[in-house]
Amino acid sequence: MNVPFVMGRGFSDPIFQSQAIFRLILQALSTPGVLLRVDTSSFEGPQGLSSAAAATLLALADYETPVWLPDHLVKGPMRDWLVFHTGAPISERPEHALFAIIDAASPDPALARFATGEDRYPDRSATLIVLCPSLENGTPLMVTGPGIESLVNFAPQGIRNGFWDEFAANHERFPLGVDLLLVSDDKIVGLPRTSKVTPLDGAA
Amino acid sequence: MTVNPHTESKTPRQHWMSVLARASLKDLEQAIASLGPMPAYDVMKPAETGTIMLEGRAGGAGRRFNIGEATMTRCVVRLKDGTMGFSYALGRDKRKAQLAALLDGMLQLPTHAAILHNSVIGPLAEQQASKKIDVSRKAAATKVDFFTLVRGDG
Repeated sequence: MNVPFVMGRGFSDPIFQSQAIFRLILQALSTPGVLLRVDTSSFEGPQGLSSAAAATLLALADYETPVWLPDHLVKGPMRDWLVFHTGAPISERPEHALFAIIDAASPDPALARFATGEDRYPDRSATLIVLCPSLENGTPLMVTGPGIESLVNFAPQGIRNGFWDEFAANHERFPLGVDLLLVSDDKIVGLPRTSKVTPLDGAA
Repeated sequence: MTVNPHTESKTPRQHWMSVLARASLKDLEQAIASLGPMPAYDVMKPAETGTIMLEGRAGGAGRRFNIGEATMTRCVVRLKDGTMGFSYALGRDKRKAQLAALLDGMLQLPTHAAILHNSVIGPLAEQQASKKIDVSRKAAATKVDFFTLVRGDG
């Protein structure tokens, strides 16, 4: 039988391991801008993908949550891995997805293309996993908002031009809007729609 | 249990998976003990128990309807070369699900297929077929033909 690639192992103890990752994502979204590390020893993600991104989808995605993936991931082993482990449908259009992986540097798709929820159901919005080359030593950002006592400094690398303007427009739409999880390797930072992000240009 | 009208067109893998699903844990343990050393494998999805919806057709030919839910256990393992073994079986026997998944994986390997077919799948399939005939014979012996006399209502 022809085996195109070796499928990665899922959680060995699905209940506790997925809950531990769920708890960490909750922590990331309730303390925006703070860098956290995901314990990725409990599973094998697809090759070439940030293990924090894989952990997030493994813990949160299921057959009721359409996932949008960029072209290079749809064509790679990521698609088979995600479908095998979570049963999540792969969404062809960004606006139908509840979870999405996007590349920080890629101009397409714009944040505004994803579901922001409806006035009666603001929870029906997308959570975007943003793949960054690194979450440290990039352009410094000032993050303020709920969950942040005074302000947090956070400096991800490789974010496309205009991204923070789009995120500011997203913030303005509160209570609607998308939430972001920025990831790199096993590191993750949450930026919910309530956070206000101001780039400190020139400071780098 | 209704007779599957597509039995004849089953693929070889469907055949051996159904034999493994119907086998008892004892059968599978014995089979594995007789085979000697087993290949190394990883558990991809640990055996988990859930329910599936069973569908039926009235008289075997009517419209599909849901009969009810049945408890089942499934498991997925991966052999060292990446071959995946799957099992789905009624009941909540996790050990059996894991062994059946392992055997399904090994049956896909050209190096193991022949011996497994001869020593495991063949005998188990025969045993299951004769048991099925026994059961249907016993059921047939208790068959009652109902009939109603036409009432003479004038």
